[in-house]
Amino acid sequence: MKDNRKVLMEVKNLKKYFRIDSKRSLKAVDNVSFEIYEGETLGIVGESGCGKTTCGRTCIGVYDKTDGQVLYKGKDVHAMKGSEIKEFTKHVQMIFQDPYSSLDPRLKVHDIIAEGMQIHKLVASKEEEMKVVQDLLKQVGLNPEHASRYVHEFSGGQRQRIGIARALAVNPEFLLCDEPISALDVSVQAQVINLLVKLQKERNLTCMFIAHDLSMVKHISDRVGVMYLGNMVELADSDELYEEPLHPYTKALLSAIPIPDPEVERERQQIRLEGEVPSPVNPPEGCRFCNRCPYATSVCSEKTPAMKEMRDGHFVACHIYDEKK
Amino acid sequence: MDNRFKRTKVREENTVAHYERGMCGDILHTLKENKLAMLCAIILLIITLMAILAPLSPYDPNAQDVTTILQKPSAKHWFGTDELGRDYFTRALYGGRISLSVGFLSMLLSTAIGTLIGTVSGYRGGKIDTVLMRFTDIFMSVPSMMLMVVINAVFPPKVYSMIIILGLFEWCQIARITRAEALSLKERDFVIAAKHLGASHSRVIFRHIIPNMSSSIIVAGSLAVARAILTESALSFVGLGVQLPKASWGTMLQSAQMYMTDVPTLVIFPGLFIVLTVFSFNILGDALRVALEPKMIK
Repeated sequence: MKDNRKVLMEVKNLKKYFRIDSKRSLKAVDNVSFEIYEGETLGIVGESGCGKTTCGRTCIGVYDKTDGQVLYKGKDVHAMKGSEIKEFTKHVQMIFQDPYSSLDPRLKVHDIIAEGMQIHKLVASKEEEMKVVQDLLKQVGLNPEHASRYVHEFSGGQRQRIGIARALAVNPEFLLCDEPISALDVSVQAQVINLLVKLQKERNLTCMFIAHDLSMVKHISDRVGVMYLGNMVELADSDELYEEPLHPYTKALLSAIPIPDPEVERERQQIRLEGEVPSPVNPPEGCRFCNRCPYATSVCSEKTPAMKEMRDGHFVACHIYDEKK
Repeated sequence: MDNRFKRTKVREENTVAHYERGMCGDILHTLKENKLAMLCAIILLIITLMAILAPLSPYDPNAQDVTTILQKPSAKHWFGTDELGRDYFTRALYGGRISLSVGFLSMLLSTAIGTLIGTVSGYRGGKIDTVLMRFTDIFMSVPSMMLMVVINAVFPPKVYSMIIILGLFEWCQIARITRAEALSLKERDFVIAAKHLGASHSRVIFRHIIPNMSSSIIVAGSLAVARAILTESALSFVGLGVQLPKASWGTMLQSAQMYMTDVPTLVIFPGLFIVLTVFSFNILGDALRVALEPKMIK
C-alpha cells in the first residue's frame, strides 16, 4: 500500500524549542518524524500542550525549526527563499482553530477570501475575482451575498467556513487543519467536518488534521499519529490504531473515549493514568511517558525509545516491544 | 460537550456585543453616555466653526484704528480692542485658525511618523526593533522645548515650519503605543494567515496591522493635538512662534502682557480659548480611550 503512494511531506527528526531564557527552553516538539502521502489525511492527536499545533505550524514553515528537516516535495521548507516561499504558500494553506481571531475584523468577507488571489495574481479582473469569491462562498455553504459583509456579522461556524474559503482560494494541495472544530459548538462541528471531507474529495487535498477529539479524528483520518509531550509515540492506520493500540499512552487515551451505550460504558475497564503531564521545559529522561506508564521498567527512564515498525505501517516508540522485534 | 457548547455560546455573545457598533458607533455612543465629553465635542465644534468662518467678521484682523484702542467689550467689539485698536474677537478667530491648524497638521505629521516607526519596529522585531526604539528613546530624552527654541531662533519661524518642528518632536509617544499594539497584533491568527498567504510585509502592515489599531491611534492623536496647541502657544508667547502681525492665541497673550492690569480681558479671552480647546481635546481623548480600548477586536 505504501509503495504506490507518493510522499508529499517528509518530516525528519523535527525539533522546535521555544527559548524561555538563556538556560531553559520549552521543548514543544522533540524529534518527531513522519511522512504524509499525497491525498491522505493524517490525524494528529494528543492532549492539550503536547505540541500538536507547534508541530503542524513548524511543518508548514509558520515557525522556524530548531533542528531536523521538513521536506515538501523534496524541498526543504525552512530553507526556501523569496519566490519559493511564495510558491509554497500557494500550495500549502491552513485552517485555524479560533474562527474569531483568524479573520481580520476590519475587512469584508470578499477581501478576506480574495486576499490570496490578489497576492498570487490568480485572477485577471475585478469581475473574475468577484465570481471566484462567490463560487467559493457557495462551495463552503454560504450565501454569495455574504461577500459584502464584515465578519462580525457571522457565527462561529460561518466564520470557520469563511476561513476554509480563504484557504481554498489559492487552490492549495495541502491543508493544515489546526483543530478546526474545537471552538465550534457540537451541532456545527459535524457540518464543518462533512464540508472538509467533501472538499477534500473534490479537490484531492492532502490534509494534516490536528485535533483532540479522538472520535472525530477516526472519522476523518486515514492514518493517525499520537503525540505525548512533544514526541510522536505511535503512528498507524486509523482503523488499526483504534482497534489495536500498542503504546500504553495510546491505550489510555483511547480508553478515555466515552461509549454512547450506558451498559457497555459501565462494564468496560478504563485505564486511568496517575499523575500529571510533566512540564515540557524539563521533561523526564528516557521515555517521556515513563513516570506515568504502568509498564515502565528501568530501561524506560534511561533510554529514549525509537520509533519501530511493529506491523506494516504501524509504528510505535516503546521499550515494551524491544525484544519482540 | 455541554461545557464546550456553553463556552462557545458565551464567547459568541460577547463578541457579537463588541461588534454590533462600528468604531463611529462606539464614539457616538460614548458621547451620548458621557455628558462632559459631549460638551467638549460641542465646544471644539463651535471653536473650529468660528475659526473657519472668521472671514465673515466685519473687521480686518490687522486693521489698526488708533481712535479705539484698549476698549472694554461692547456690542460693537465683542471682546473689546487691543492696544492698536484691532477688533479682539476677530483676532481671536484668526488666531484660532493658526493655533488649530498648527495643532491639527502637526498631529497628522507626528501620528504618521510615529505610527510608521512604531509599527515597523513592533512588527519586524529583532535588530530593527532595537535600533528604532533606541532612536525613539534618544528622541524622547532630548529636551524638545529647548531644541525648538534653538531651531526657531536659527530659522525664521513660519507657520509651516512650526507645523514641521512640532510634528517632528511629538511622534515618540505614538511610536511607543503603536509598537506595543503591533507586538500583540502580529501574533494574531489573521496576521499569521495573511503572512502564510504570501503577503509582503508592507501589505500586512498597511492592510492588517494599522487598520486594526486605528482606535488607539485616534486616541493618541486627539491628545497630540492638545499638546501641539499648548507648545505652539508657549513658543509664540516667548516670541519664537508665529510672528506678528499674524495672530495666534500665543502671540495675543504675549502682546497683552503689558496691558494685563488695565484691560484684563486681553489676557482672559485668548487664555480662555487655549484652555477650552486643550481641555476639550484632553477630555475627549480620555473618553475615546475608555470607549475604544476594551473593544479592541477580541
